[in-house]
Formats: sequence, structure tokens, C-alpha cells
Amino acid sequence: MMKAECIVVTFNGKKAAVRPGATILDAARSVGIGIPALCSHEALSTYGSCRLCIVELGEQGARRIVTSCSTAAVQGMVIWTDSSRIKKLRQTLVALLLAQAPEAAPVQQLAREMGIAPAKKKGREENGTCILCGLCVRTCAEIVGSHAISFAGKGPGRKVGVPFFKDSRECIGCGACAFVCPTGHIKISDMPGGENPERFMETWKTRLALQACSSDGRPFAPRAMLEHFAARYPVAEGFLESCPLCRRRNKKA
Amino acid sequence: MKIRNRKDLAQLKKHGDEQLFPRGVRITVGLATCGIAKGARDVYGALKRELKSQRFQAALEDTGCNGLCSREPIVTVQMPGAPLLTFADMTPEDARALVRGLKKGEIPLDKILCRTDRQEDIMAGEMRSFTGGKPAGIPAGIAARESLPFFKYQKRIALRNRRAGTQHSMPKYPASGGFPAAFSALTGMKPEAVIAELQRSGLRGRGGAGFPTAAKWQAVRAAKGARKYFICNGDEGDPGAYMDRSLLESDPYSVLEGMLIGARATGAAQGIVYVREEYPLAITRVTGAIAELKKAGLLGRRIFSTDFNFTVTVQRGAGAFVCGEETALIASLEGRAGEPVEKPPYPAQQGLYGMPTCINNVETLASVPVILSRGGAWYSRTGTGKSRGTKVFSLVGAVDRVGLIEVPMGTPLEKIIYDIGGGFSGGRTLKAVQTGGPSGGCIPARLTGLGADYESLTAAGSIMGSGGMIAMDNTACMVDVAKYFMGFLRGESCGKCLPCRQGTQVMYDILEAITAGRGTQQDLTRLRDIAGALSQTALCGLGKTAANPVLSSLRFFKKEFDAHLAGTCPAGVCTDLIQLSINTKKCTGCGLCRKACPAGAVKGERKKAHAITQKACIKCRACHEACPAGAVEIR
Amino acid sequence: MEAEEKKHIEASLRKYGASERALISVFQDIQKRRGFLSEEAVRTVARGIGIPASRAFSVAAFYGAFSLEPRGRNEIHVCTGTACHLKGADRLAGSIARKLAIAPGGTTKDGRYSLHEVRCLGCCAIAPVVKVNDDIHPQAVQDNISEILENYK
Repeated sequence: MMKAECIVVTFNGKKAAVRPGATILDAARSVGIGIPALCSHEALSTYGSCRLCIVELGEQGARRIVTSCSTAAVQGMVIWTDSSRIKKLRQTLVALLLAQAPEAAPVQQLAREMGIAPAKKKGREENGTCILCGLCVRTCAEIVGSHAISFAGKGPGRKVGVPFFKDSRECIGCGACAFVCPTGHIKISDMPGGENPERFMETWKTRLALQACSSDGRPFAPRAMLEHFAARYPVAEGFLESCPLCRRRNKKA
Repeated sequence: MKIRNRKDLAQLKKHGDEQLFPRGVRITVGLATCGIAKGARDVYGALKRELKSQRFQAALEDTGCNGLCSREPIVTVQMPGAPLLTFADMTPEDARALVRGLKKGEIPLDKILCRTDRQEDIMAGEMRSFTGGKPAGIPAGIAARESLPFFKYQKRIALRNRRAGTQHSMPKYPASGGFPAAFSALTGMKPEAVIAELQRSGLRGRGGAGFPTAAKWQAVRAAKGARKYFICNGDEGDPGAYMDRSLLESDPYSVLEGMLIGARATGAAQGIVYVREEYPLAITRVTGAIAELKKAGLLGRRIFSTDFNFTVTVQRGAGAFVCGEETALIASLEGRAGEPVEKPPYPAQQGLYGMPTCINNVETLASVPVILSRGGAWYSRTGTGKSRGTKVFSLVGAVDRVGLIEVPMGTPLEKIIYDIGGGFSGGRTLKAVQTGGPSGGCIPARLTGLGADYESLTAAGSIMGSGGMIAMDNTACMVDVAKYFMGFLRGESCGKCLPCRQGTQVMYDILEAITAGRGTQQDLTRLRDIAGALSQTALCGLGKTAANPVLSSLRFFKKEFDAHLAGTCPAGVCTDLIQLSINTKKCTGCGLCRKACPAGAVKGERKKAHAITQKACIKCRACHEACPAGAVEIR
Repeated sequence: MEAEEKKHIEASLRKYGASERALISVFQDIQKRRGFLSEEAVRTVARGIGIPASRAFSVAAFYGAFSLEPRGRNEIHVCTGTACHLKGADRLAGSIARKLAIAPGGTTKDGRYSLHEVRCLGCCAIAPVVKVNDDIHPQAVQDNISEILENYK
């Protein structure tokens, strides 16, 4: 049943009713058309760096290419998501991405689907799985509000990191970056034993002290993270001093 | 003094006239960056000291560069009633001899370049005469400036004020015709009329994109915003191009007057001149000019007693080629990394701080006052097709007369290279002409009948670009040139989008493999594939045009690529594919090569033929440079 | 951070305004005065402007004019413009790198020299060009470069 405020666009020759104001990418997905996109996320601002979501607009002879994540769908738009021109370009882009991050699983997956041969492992091990999508940077800035990481450097030498690549003063160890990372590049390990239990944000070369639960004494979250939340969200006194398990137990009691 | 009206302007002009045409002798020394590098400061100092010790009265001034860069340091002597005399390749010794000669009334002529009896005042549209009355004993036989091939074919509109030395003294600018155009634009004309004049001229952006200037001004004028900005893009980054540096160093007032007129047309109240930090002299000169204009009331509030306000500040670039791209330049002004953003929206509607912003190139702005003075119709009579007016080129590379020139659009490349540039001495020949910098391509020698205009150059696989024109002879390897430009772009890519960040890297790796003799035919296919991805999916102009140099080299010099795939470098450039050896017949045994070699690869006894041990040779060519007998051969 | 340096930074912030748009100008002042941007300098400026340290660091790490490490007393810039390249600029840079035993971008152990490749300086008529501090040296070649460098203490 068509809602009153739908707009009509044409995807690959077939008309479709989509929500006005949606990006071409979201509009396509809403009608079941898949477009690969590695650097976009519905909760984050648009970045437009991977270029995989490209589509063609317009009629034969006068088509132009746009990135569907950053272009709004408008009434009457004629969109081609899978033309031979787009397929060929995507193939070249994935091959380039594979050269940059040969061990990144989503890239390997795309490569397999497109029939691209696996890349020979090259130097630059550090970035072997980072595709520079920036999802971690935007998450830390826009969702968490810590702004601990950013892009550094130009061109192929570009990296994501904390200021001066050492011991961040802003990272709260929440792990949202690792959660949103599509390739598993961001590594976190907890060392709960010993006198100084800590969380090691390996990729950001930062160590954070783990807070011990006031009920059962086990380290459960970085102190900085708990303080960050306490400062931003109204929580009851002492709420954040217990770990989630104990909080539940104490509630029932 | 404050300039509030025509009368004030006339008085300032009179002041400047007295400086430009003094009653006594006027001696000038070109003191722009290249002149200084070649010792012009020492020449200036020698003149100053000798004038004092000889007690010879003369006004000594420094001027900007006159474009004949290959013959710096350049000195001119102006004596009342006599033609202007220009001397080239001057040394401090020559300077002293000149002053002594002037004192005696016998001018030494061994460094004389030419005489100028009349010069065109292009703003007024008339000829100004140096002579009048008795010529002060100038010997016959000195070439007239207009007869010198370097100057003969030029039409100097943007480069009009070279001799005047306006960069130091503001009065000289109106004496050279400056300011009435701005005065008209601010007092006599409506903004729409100013734009209409620009429209008639056919002026297109001289920074490379060639967008019609009138259309841009109109778009900014029509845009809605609380404030509007007017930016002069002095981030000239194309290697081999220095037109804008020269304009800002030698005639900053012409650019600022253009900004004043543009701000009036678009409704901008705040202007910014964005200059590369690698151009310290340009920054100093334009900053000084802005201060002078402020003092005179020509910048600030109520200019020319109207309600038009316009202030200009200078912002230094921070070493990023990509900041020549409009949106990256804006990002830089906003204190962010120079990452371009998708267009639309265009800066005209949403630019600096989200406000309507007009961004124009230095040369474009320098041409505006002349267009307003002489009329757009006059300007459009020069040029060809859709390319009207003139273009400043930096003609560099293998030609004999390297320099800065300005010619009508459509001038054939071969005229520029052979007639103006003097061709190639020593039996060398032209191989290719590179235009458009890293977004451009190489035009092979057989196509140099092409006219230098936007459409012709684009059709030949290059672009007009900002004006860098590099002549290459047979010592240039076209595969190496392609690799050079790709390396440049890889280093300057902002890194945001995948095709440019990785594409330039992979293409560079492939070109490096080819120049090392490890390339395959498949590599050429890969180059074309990536080139396609770059031009169709890159986020900004840098990425979109990054493959042009390679594509044009492949188009016109495929044979050279094939030779490299087969393991040779015909031009003798690519290190891994060449071998250095000593021709025993030519070797005099002087041993300079042995001393120069950093790797100990040259062996030989004094006065006996030397030889290079191939295994130890690192191919640095220090021996080739050091050898006075030309005995070191490269194969 | 020394109080003196802090004062300088505060003066820059006053001069350009303590907002994000002033970031590059403030950094340029520090780069000119100290020869590099230290972590403390970047953080001090970020605090003064009210932006995250990571954003200030991005800018410091993006632009070629800024160095994150101290540079040598004398900065050697080999021009890599097209005209200079065609006249052997990369061989010249290689020769200097060998003589000083550093890589381009590096600084000698005694802090006397830093070697950089710089984009076209616009002096194509006098190629190849080497700029040492503020001096532009025309037609620099492997033969005369040692002499030129000797003059810089």
C-alpha cells in the first residue's frame, strides 16, 4: 500500500516507490536492491570514501556516476545500480582495496563475488585489515563524543590513530570503534588479573585501568568509560560502581 | 594620502608619473625570486655603491621580473629623452662599468639586450614614448625590444606592469593605468554592468578549469547568504608553473584591483588572498600592497566615498597541493585538513563557512582591470574560438629562452617554442610539450602546430591547465615523466577516497616496475583500468585527472613503453636500464670522474683512460656531470 | 611546556582569534618559531581553541609545512618541479642523502641539516634548484652541492 508521501524512482528499469529524502543507497535497500557500501552507516554522517556504492543516473548516452550514499533520491530519478559500466568500475575498486587491505574479510568476500584473484601479500602489514572507512573515527566523534581517534597523514600513508600515536588521553576504552569496524582491524584485550587490571586498546597503543566491581571485586569496565557515562547520563548514585551481573543480582535481592 | 575621488587618484597618478619618468636618470634592477637567486642583489648593491662613489645622480629602484628569466639579472637605464636601455646577464662588475660609463657619457654595450623607444600602455590603449628631444648619445645598432623574438609575439595584458616596479610603490600603479577601472566599477557602474562587461570579454578561469568568470560572478551575486566571500586562489601548485608567483611578487596591485572589482560585482565584503607558503616573497609583497591600499582608503570602509566596504587578508597555504582545489582550499581556511568534498553544492552557493564564495585565479583577477578599462569587446577580439584574450605561460624545460610569456589564446605551440622560446641549441630537438601539470599531458613534437587554447589542448589529450608549459627534448624519457607525475599525485592525494589514494599508489608501483625493466603487457592493461576508475569515481578534480599524464604518454609514446617492457630506456634515463661507460678515445685521464664517484666505481691512473666497474656503479651519473670531455656515455 | 612558549601561543591565539579557523595560522607561527609541532604544542592549541586534540592532530599531520619532529638547524629543500626533475633533481637529492647519510625527510644526528624534497618553487629558469633556509641556489648540481652546504653551520 503506497503511502501518500512516496516518490517514484526507477531502479534498473523498474519503477519503485521510496521514502522522500532518502539517499539512493537507503532507497535501493528499502526495495531489496543491494548496493555494496563499506564506509556508510545509518547512524553516522556520510563520508563517501570507498566509492563502492556508485550508481549511474540518467538515460543512455548521458549517464553520470554518483555515490549513492551521498546523493538524495528525487522524484523521477533513473538509477542503474548494476550496469556493466558500474560492475567494471566496482571490480577495479575492489581490486584496489584488496591491494591495500588484503586480509580484510569483507573485501575478500567482495573480491570472491566479483571473481577477483586473491591479492599477493605485500608489505605494510600494519594496515593489512584497515580499509580507512572512517567508521571508527565517526563513531568515536559522533556517538561516543570522545574524539579520541582521527585520520593522520595524506595519500596512501594515511592512518587512523590517536594523537601522536601513543597513549591517548581521550580514549575511554568503550570499544565502540571495534564494534563498528567492518574488518576486525581494531584489537582490544583485557588483562583482568593482578594488582593493576587493565584494558589494552592495542590498535591505539593505549592502556586503561579497569574498575573493580564494588560487589564481587572483579574488574569489569574501564574507569574512564564509567566516568564518561556518569558525566553524560543521569544514573542513580552508585549505579556504575557494580558490574552488570551484580547490579541485576542486587536488584532482585 | 587618502584616495577618495578622481581628483585624489589623478594626484596619486601624477606622483607616480614623476617616479616612472623622473627628470634625471632612473636605473632599475629586477629583484624577484629568480633574479635574487642569480645574484641581482649583489648587482643592486654594486650599482648603489658605484653611484655614490662616482657621485652620479640617479634614482635606483628594484622592479619585478620581466619574464626573460633565462637572462637574469636584468638592469634597465632610463635617461630623459632617450630610449630605455635593457641590459641582461649583469654581474656586479658590469654594474660598476655601467655607472662609470654613464658618468662619462659612454655606455658599455657588451651586456646590452635591447632598446625600447615606445611602450604600449595597454590600460590607456596608447603608446608611451621614452624618447623626445635629443636622444642622449645612444649608439646605433641596438636591437629594438619589439624586434626581439622573445617579446615580439607577446601581448602583455596580465603582465602589463613589469617595468614599472609597482610592487613597492603604490603611486606607480596608477601611473601605469591602475585604479580607474575599480573606480568605475564602484562608482559609475552597477554590479550587473560589471558582470556584463566580463561576459562580453569571454574571460575564462585561468587556473585551469576554464570556467567562464562572468558566470561565476553572476552565480555568487545571485546566491543567498548573510555574507559573501571573495577569494584569490594563489595556491599555484602545478610543478613548472610560476605565473601566479610572478604576478603576486611583481604586480600585486593588479590582482588586488581585480579583487576589488570582483567583490563589487558579487557583493562580497571580505576578501582573502590564499598564497602557497613556498612563495615567501609573494606573501610579503601582497601583504605590503594590502597595507598600502588600506592606508589610502582603497580597502576598508566606504571605498571611493561609496558605501562599498571590502577588506582583504592573506592566508598562507601549509604545503598541500590539493588545497588548490576549491573545496579543499575552503577546508584549509576553516582550519581543517584539506579534504575536498563532493560538488554540488558549489562554493558559489555554499562556500567558506557555508556562505556564497567566489574563488578566482590570480591571473584571471590581474586581467580584470584591463577588461573594464578597454572593454570586454576589445578583450574578446584577441584569441580564438571559445578561448578569448591572452594566456600567461611559464615556458620552461629544454628551450633556450626559458621565461614567463603572455600570448593570444590560440597561438600555435611551435611559435611559442621556437620563435619565442628560441628552440633548442646544440643539435637538440623537441620531443614533447607538457601542459596542464599533473592533470595534463604531453603533446608530441609532430602536433605542435596546435593552438594553445582550451579546446585544442583538451582534444589532444592534455589540458590548458594553469599555464606551465614544459618543453622536452630527447633526453627526456616519457615513461619516466609519467612516473614522475604519478609520484607527485600519490604524495599529494588527500587520502580520503579509495580510487585516488590507492589508484595513484598502484599506478606508481606499476610505472616503477616498468622503468626498472620488470613491466609486462598486462601492466599496461591494469594502468588503463585504474585510469578509468580514477576518472569516473574519484571524489575531486585531482583524482579525476590523475591518470591524464599516463594516458597521454601511452597514447603518443607507446613505443617507449614497449621498449621499457623489452628492457631498454631509449632516452637513457631510467636508472635500472642504463649503463654508464667511459669512451676511452675521448677520455683525457683527468680523474675528475674518479673523484666525483661516491661508490668508488671508477678506476684509472692519471693521464690514462679511466673505466667504470659496472658492479659497483650506482648510476648516480656524478661522473657524467663532472667529465669535461663528454667521455662518459649513457646507454 | 615552558611558560615563554605558552605565552607565544596565547599571543598567536589572540592575534588570529581562538577559533577553529585560526588553527593553521597558529600552527604556522609555532612551526616558524620552534621548527616543529610538539604534542604539548598541539594539545595546548587545541585546548585554547576548544577543539578535540585528535582534530588538531589531524591538521598537524596532514599538511606538509608542519613537522611533528624537530628539524635540523639548516633545512635543505631540493626542488622536485618538472624542470628540475628533468635536470636530475632526484639524482641530486640522492647525492645529498648519501653525503649526509640521511633519507629525504630525515635530520642529521648532529642536528645540522634536514633534507626535504619540496614541490616546485617556481624558479624553473634556474633549474635545478636547491633552497637552504631562505637562500635559493640556482643550477645546483652534484659537483657544487657540497660547497654550498658547507657554508651553513
